[in-house]
Amino acid sequence: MELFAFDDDYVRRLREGDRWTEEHFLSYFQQLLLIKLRRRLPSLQAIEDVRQEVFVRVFRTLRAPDGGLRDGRKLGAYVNTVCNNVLLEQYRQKNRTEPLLDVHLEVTTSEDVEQAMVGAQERERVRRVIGELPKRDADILQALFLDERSNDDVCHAFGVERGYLRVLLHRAKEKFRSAWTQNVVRIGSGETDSGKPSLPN
Amino acid sequence: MEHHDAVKSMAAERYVLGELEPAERDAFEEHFFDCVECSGDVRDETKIAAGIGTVEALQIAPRASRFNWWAVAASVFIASLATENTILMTRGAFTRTPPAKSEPAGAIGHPISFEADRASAGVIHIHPADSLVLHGQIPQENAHQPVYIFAVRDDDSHLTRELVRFKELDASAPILITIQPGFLASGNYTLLLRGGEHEVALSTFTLDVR
Repeated sequence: MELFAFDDDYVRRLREGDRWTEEHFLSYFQQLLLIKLRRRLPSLQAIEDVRQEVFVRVFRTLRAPDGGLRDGRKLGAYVNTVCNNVLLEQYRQKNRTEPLLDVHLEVTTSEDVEQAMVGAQERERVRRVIGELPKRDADILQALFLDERSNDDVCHAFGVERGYLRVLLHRAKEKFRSAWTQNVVRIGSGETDSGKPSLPN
Repeated sequence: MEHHDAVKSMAAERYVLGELEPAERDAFEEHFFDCVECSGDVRDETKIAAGIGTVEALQIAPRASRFNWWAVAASVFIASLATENTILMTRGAFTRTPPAKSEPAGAIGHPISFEADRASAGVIHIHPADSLVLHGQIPQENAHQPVYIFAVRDDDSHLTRELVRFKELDASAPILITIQPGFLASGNYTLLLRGGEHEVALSTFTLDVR
């Protein structure tokens, strides 16, 4: 994913229907919305419905005659706000008599959601990179992301405090990122999974 | 939440570990939607989780059965950027068969724009688990039709498959059609729009699924 800052020019290109800007926008926010919504909605179908509604509203605003968004740097925050509004409306519609507390809206992370975020080829690559990490780092990642053990259990298994678990996760992630970059360079033939030059990993 | 606060408090790690209080989580989400560095952190962790899940899954099921995508019934999601009523109407026109639990669902769309000049979209390379997004507007000369039908013609077999039928569509508004993985195989296609008595070719494209 190419990373570049949102600004007025980006929003202008989006408003004018520039193909690559639209592709970047959709790719970038599809993932972020999925990450956000997976904690609040029970199924991929429900997530997809909200995502579509968010995109509809954002595009409608951006392409309104008055131009919609005033500060292009706030595009991400705006998308997040639209998403919050859609969620709130949905909760109100479904729970008119008794509003749900936030804690009731948490749902268990499903394997489907991770699979929806990452294509099969990329998962293969991730698997290979994890296999190259030092064992302790790979074990930490596995314990946290696969075994579905509580954080306290993982702390106990590795003999660390809760706060230090975050540090271990951070380090393992940094090593993964470093190895991932090397992996991409080694694999890199100039093509991304999609074969398009606009979305380098 | 400011970026240095997010880094200092290890907000990305705590977000993934589910350790943030609701208010703190909301603040971090508002931040990382605008921050490429923090959103990259969160995305990496989700990527790792997906990869680790694959390790386990491959030990359970043979790859061939796990990725038997083409057996999945085609599903098409439609969203018109026109009005909420239109969206509800068009969604109702389709039956979606959800993928089995072990099958990957496509997430990132690969947009094909049907522009006014009706140019070729060229070769679109996609992974079998990726969606295909068609977006654009009804050509002005085709506006004001009671019914619009989007279809794709396989230019090799000359078979035409209907994608979606719109009634009472606001033709001045952009349209977004997401085609789920597996609906189209590799080949040469023409995107067709039928309105009233007329049929126009909006775009041609070559799809390379692998």
